[in-house]
Amino acid sequence: MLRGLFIKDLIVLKKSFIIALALLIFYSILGIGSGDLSFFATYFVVFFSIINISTFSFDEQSKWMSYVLTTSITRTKLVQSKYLNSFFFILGGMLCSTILSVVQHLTNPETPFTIFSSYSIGALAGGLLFNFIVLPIIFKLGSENSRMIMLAVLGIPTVLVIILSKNNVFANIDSAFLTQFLKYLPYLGSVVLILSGILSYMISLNIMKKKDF
Amino acid sequence: MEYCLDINNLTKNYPNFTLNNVSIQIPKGTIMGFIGENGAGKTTTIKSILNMVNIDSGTIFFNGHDITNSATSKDREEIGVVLDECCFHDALRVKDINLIMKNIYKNWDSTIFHSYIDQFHIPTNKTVKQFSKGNKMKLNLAVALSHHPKLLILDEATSGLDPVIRSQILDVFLDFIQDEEHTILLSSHITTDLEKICDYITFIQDGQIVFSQTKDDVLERYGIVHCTNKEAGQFSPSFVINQLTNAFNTSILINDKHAFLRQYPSAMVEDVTLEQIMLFYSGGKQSC
Repeated sequence: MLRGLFIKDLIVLKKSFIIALALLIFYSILGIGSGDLSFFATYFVVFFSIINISTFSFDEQSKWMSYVLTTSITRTKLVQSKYLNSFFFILGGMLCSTILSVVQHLTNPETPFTIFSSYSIGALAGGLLFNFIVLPIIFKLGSENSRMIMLAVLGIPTVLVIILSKNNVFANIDSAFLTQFLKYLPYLGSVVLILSGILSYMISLNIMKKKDF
Repeated sequence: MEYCLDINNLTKNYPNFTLNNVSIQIPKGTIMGFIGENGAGKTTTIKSILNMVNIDSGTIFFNGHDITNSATSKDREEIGVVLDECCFHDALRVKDINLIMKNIYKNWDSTIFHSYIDQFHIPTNKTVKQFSKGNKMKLNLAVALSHHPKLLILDEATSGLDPVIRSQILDVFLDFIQDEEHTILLSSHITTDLEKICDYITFIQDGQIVFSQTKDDVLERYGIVHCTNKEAGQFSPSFVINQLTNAFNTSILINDKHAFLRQYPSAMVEDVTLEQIMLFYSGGKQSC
């Protein structure tokens, strides 16, 4: 059953994927000789993080959600499909990121090759966290009404980082503390991601079970 | 009698509307027409059956299973639904829809789906965006019929379709219930279609059921009396449902034309249509 929903999203997003493939090829060519594809590697993870959100917009245009709940798909399965989609799409982004890393290494063998760069892993975590925050909001308000909130979710942390950087907050952090923090960040980050994912899913499920279509 | 759908005291409250103690029983192997004005509660009732809304009280049984607010996937497999608009994304083609629905329904039958696509002459080389309204509705119907449903629920599915397509679709409905194991609940404003094929009629008004009876009983019992405005006052109020009055004469909807004629043998009583019943219930002046 979930496969049917995933197939529907893949077909509907076909144009978006073609664009992503074209961009992948373009940036690969652009990146040859530039030496640093980290931005582009991160870009793909971010792109695929957001693409799941656009499926809500497509669903609303065609009133698909109302219809699909009359089929054998339950509200629980509908919520599960959106979370699984976000996970699979972000993995797709990681795959594009890996391809870029391979291209970079092949064209410039001196650059170190890593399957997943720290940038793309950071983008993966950021992308998942973005979906975990935004999905319950979209389930509640719909994609149109959630746009401003989504912009805020993306914009506020960015603005905060810029302000903190400009005020040299990061430069004043004790380097020993920073080293320790970065050492434990993957473990801490994984726990935060898992807990926030579970909480987000439970909230989304609760919203969907109470919603009238 | 075995009921396919058994709804008892269904109540759903909205700020400006209440579906109030709706009870409908649809025997297996029959077609029930569901009529009412816009905003009367037809779609809310259908949404309640399909768990699209959470009802406040009441019970809904489908083939003996309690599906009130909680139909299982297995129950839903056996219900085919056609809503009043096409809910497939504009970019999809027939083959995409077949692929999607094959992976949603366990009982999906691609052979039957393609046979309906051929029968309805639905283009396979166009996207849904390029379909006419008629083709979109036929596509909805083809999908609803292609997973071996036991119950077909249609909400204004034939509105806006030309008579040729409607006639085709009505023939499909009659074929569907041939084996008496399949049932249809058909909500429609096109009362002539309902008169052609329905076994039962349920009339809802302002969130309440006015009547739910066999079509033959309804058309046999109700009648319209035409008389002068002066004569109208002479009839017993117990017969009168409602009346429509103009400057010269009065038309009265009566609830038992045979008993009425026994009491008033000289009265002119004519047969009634479902449309006229709806008009009288919704638009007439109350009798004194």
